[in-house]
Amino acid sequence: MKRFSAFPFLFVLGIGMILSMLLPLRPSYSDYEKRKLAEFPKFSFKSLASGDYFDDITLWFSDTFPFREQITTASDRINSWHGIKAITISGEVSKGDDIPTAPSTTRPSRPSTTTTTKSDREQTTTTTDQSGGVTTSSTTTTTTTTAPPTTTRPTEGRGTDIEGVDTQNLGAILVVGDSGYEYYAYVQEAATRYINIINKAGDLLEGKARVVDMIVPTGIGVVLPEKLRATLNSSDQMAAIEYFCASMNENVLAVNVLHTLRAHNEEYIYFRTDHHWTALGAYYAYEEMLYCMGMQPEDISGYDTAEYEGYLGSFYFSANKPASMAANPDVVKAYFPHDDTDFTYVASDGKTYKGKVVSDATNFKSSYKYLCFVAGDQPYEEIVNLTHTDLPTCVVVKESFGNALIPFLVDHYSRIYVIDYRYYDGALTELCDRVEADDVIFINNISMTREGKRLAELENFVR
Amino acid sequence: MTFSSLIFLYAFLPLNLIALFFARSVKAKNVVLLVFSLIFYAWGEPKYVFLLLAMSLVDWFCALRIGRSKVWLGLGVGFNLLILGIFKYLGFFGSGVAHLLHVELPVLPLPLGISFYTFQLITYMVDVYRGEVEPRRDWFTVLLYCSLYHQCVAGPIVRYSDMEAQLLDRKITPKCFTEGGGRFARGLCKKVLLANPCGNLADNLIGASTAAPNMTRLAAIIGVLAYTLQIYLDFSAYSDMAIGLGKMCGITYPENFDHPYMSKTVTEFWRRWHMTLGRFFRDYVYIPLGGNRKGKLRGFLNLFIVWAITGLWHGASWNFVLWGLWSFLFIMLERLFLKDVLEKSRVLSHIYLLAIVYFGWALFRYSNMADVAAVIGAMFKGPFTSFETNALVKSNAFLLLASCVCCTPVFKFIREAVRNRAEGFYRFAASWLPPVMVIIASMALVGDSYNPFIYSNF
Repeated sequence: MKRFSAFPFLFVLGIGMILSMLLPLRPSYSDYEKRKLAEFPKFSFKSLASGDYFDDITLWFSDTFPFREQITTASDRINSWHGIKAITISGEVSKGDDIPTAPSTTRPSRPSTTTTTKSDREQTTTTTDQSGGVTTSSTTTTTTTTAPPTTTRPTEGRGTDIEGVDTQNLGAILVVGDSGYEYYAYVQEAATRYINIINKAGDLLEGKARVVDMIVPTGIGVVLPEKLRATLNSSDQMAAIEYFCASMNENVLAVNVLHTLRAHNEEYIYFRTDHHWTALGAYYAYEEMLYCMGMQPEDISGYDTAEYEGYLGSFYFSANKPASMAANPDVVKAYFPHDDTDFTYVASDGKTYKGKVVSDATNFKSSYKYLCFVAGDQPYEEIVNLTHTDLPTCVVVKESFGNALIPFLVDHYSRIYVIDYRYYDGALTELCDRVEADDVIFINNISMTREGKRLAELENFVR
Repeated sequence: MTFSSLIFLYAFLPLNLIALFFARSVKAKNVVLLVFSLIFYAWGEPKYVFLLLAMSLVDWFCALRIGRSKVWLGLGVGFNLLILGIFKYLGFFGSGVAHLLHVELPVLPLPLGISFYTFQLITYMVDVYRGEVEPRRDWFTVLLYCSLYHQCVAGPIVRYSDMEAQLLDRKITPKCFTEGGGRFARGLCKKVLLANPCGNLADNLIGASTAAPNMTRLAAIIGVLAYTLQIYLDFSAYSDMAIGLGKMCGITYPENFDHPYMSKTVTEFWRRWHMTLGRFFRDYVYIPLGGNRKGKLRGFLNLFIVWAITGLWHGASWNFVLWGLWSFLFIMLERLFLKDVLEKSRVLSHIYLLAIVYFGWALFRYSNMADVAAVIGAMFKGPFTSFETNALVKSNAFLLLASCVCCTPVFKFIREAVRNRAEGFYRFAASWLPPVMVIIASMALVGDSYNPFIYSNF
């Protein structure tokens, strides 16, 4: 080359400038991060003098840069060159508090009766498989219950062996190969707060409705084998859940689903690219919960199903979009209730919409597939069972984990009222009186039990 | 505004270059630079741009009268140091007195770049006093000198006598523009692709502001290493970008870093690290105090003062003073006898220097001495590693390696070798590589909205 040329440098600056000026190309919402992107700030002399106005413009400029999602994906690929074996832990792993030993509980989580009662017409058959779990095929009505014939705990499955597999750390998320696991740090103060809220619910509804509490463990406490769990800096979820269950008062039916989930931990019960459980995981928890409530769960093989492929969830984004996950996305399998329903919900805009208990997510964006369950996280939903009108009424108080479990409850209640306490403004007692609830089921994932914001929202509802 | 942001790269800088292109005379270009510099400064801190204007006005006024009476030098320098002292050191010096008097000290935010432009204006007045330059009749040039956005916020600290001629007359050629662009691009990549990830790693391993309890030994060791790399790469990246931007406008700023981690003694280190600061303290504090010409004891006392002030300049906190004195200790030892010992082995003296610098940065990082003790203590006791530490270190191994390589002059040698042997190819690479580097760095900046420089806290 004969001379130095300033042209390439100026060209890049010029293209970037033009691109950044094309306002219509600037996105306003991030699908992966599930948040609204920064807006151009409103002018005020106060914000100008303090410098906030300029800071907000700077933030808006880069936050909403055109082709943001594609550019950050490419940049994440480059970041994956930082190290060997993609073993990364991003974010600070904080050590949790010590978990108090749960006092010996006088209430077993499963009825220990081994008797089987049958109705006139149907015959129930029970088979016990090797891990001690029970499958029951039956077409009994709700007057017949069959308790599992075993009193021993199901043995835990082998889990997923990660010896020698590349793992990645993500901001307090551990990524192993193509699977993510979120760290859990037990916080005593938050735990006490949670226990008080649920106990209060039990007291408020004493004599009016049965209060059931389920704390859903997260994948890190279920899927990873025991040996590895011990070396991780993540609090012991079994100890925590046992403590929670033992601390509930006599007005609350506390259900421990960790044993049954661990018994099935070789099955696809948690998503790999997302922090949620799958519908299958929710099924096993539903099954355990119904036994504890003295009800008969449906058999899993009796459901119609649908599969929605290509799901890339929260871990995918938080883990800087590892190529291993992109190459092997999750599949959202949904189980349809047997009964027909009328499903309406009140959205955050206050308007009422009709929807489906399970929506067809075939054409949803890849990061949205989990929203096929009960139309996602709406403040208030009503599910009316059109097939059976003489069943009890239930209120489900949940955050997003409950979504995958609710479809299984449909066949057992004539009316289900679903409250996402993060977005719902009303009060528990008023609602239960109005709808004449028979059962009130709290479903929360264990991470929520240490989050101040979530606890405040739940406190606000339980009154 | 910071150089490593999208708004600077794709709004401010292009507009600045366009405006400079249309300004035909040097005078017009200077007006453009001043306007953009004031906008740049006000963007970061709207209220304190007036402080900058006021200080430069006062100093310009004082400088004009220095010829008549020395008092004006004292007034000007005193005024600058007073302002700096109030904004930066009021809490540090005054807290003891305030406590006794039961008075609440106001919490003053640190104006952007105050440590830098105060010193730059002091060099102006002192250079006038020493007769090296004539005082300017026009405030404009003085203001431009201290407010130029390239170096106003975080250096290099320039001297008026070095700058005057360039400010008044200069040329921009395609060569200097391209090489400036290359320098800027290298600094940008160093900051965004190396310094920032090293900083994140350090934060994950040894905590952002306090040492995390239950830190494993490996976490402490690698964490301080990552911080050591971050602080050099971050600061030298800023200087690279400042110097590069200057070159694009035809201005040559002094070098600030010369691969300091290649040094073999602490004395040498400080001739390669933040060179303009060292030069300032040498020319404007150490030598006026008498240097080492007033006897050995006085020489050491002068050194002590200079290093205490150097530490204090970095921050109004005791750990910074101690860090400065940490350097002083070894410089003194080297002068006394250590230098002769170290000269015997290049490798051992290099290891010695790295160890001193390494522990020095641990001292520099935390303003709470308990945290310093915790981190250094964690290197020697407790479990060696954990699952998380292993994962963190392995997943950043290449990053650490690349960062270490960038602390050496290997790329500089490659560039010189290419320039000497294949000039045509050199011109081609110098024209095309920087834009590619800017694109890659920009990709990392999208969605990463704000990443200020460490030294802009000074």
